Parts: sequence; structure tokens; C-alpha cells
Amino acid sequence: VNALANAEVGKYLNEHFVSSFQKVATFRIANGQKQGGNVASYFCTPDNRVLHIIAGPVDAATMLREARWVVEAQKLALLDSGGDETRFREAMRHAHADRLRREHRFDVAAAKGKGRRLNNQGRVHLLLAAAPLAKVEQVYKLVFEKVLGEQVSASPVVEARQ
Amino acid sequence: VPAQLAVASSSAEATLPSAVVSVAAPDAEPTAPVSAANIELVRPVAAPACESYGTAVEFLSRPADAARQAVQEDKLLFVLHVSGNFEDAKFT
Repeated sequence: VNALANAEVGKYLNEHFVSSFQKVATFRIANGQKQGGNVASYFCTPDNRVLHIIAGPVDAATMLREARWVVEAQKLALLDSGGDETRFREAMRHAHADRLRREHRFDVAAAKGKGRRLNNQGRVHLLLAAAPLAKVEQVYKLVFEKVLGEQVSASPVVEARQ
Repeated sequence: VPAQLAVASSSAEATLPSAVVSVAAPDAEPTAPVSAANIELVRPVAAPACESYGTAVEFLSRPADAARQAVQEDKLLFVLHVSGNFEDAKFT
């Protein structure tokens, strides 16, 4: 969340996105210390189809880089697709597979890198290469529970008694 | 077009209405001079309020409102999924 306090990040997000938030989990506060809790940032089309995800907290430079990437990637996908839904989906699949190959040395098409332990961002690219433009409601539990290792919960924040 | 006023294609003549009905003008009230004070503007439907919650980003509290606004403004959607209450820094 600290990255969002950065003026440049704020300017870029406010210019290109309409932003909102959703509580999907909880955490405990014990002896003044936060236990558990996490964050996932979704970049979506206006109809809630996921273009990109940042799993976990990141610094301002990473947030800005990823926000710029998704804006440019979807513009290029729109250009390539010529308004065709299937081709747009395929272009976004290709964009994630490309980053997976270049940055995580994992080739989806050749199944090279199978068994390689991917970090959170690698897992996100793998998920979105496999299921490009999935709806937020279709992937958020997977992201929070399998990628971030948190339990989805509607419970309130609990402050443990000392 | 009232039938009486229709031009008959065969005779090329227009017929007048059979009666003229006079309509009383509404009682005229003296009108007040127009000024900014007596013009009631139509209020636009209020857009959902944005808050920044201590960040540099403007947030709408409901994702559905954000989605609607994104369509209207031709923008993408940024949705933060958090543990705890985003509105309260202590619980985020």
C-alpha cells in the first residue's frame, strides 16, 4: 500500500484507471504486531476481466512499471486483435507467456522450466497465460490462497488480548 | 397533419379547418425579473465520492461503482484486494 502513496504512481493510476478496493481476508494483531494479511492488485478491463495482477506488496517503482506495462500491453493487444475478442484474449495470453519466458525462464509452449520454482509474479504470469482475461471472481481465491498463502475470509480484524 | 389541412392530390386544393376554437390564455402572473437568485439549476446525479485514504490514488469504495465509472471514462479498472479494512490504516 505504501507504493500507492507515491505521487508519480498516483498520477499514473488516476490518469489511466478508476480504482477501488475490496476486503477479502483478515489478520490478527498480537502484542501490537500484525500477523498475516496481504494484498493483491488487479488491473482489469471495465467488465472485471483480469489483464494483470501484482501479488503481494511492492515498491513504487515496481507498481509504476507494472501499471505502465499493462496499459501498453492491452493497447497493443487491442491493435493486434482489431476488435476481435478471441484475438484480444490470445494477445494477452502471449504477453504473459512472453514475460514468463524472458523474466522467469519458463516456456509455456515448450513446457520448458517445468518443475522450476516460480516466485509470486512468475505464478501470476503462468496463471494469466493459462487463463487470460479471467474474471476477478474466478481467480481471486486462487491468487490469495495459492499464490499468497492467505485464507480468504470475511471475518473482522482480530486484536488478540495480551 | 390534420385531415382538414391536407392537400387533396386530385384537386390540388387545401381545405380549411371547419371551426376555429379559441383557447383562453392562462392567467398571466406578473413575472419576476430573471436573476441568478431565482433560477433553480437542475442538480446532476451525484457521482460516487472518491477518497484517497492516505495514498496518492483516488478510490471509490465500491468496485461496482468503479466499473461503471471506468466504462464512462474509457479507463481501465484497478482493484486492490486487501486483508483488513482499507479505510483504516491500522487495519490494513
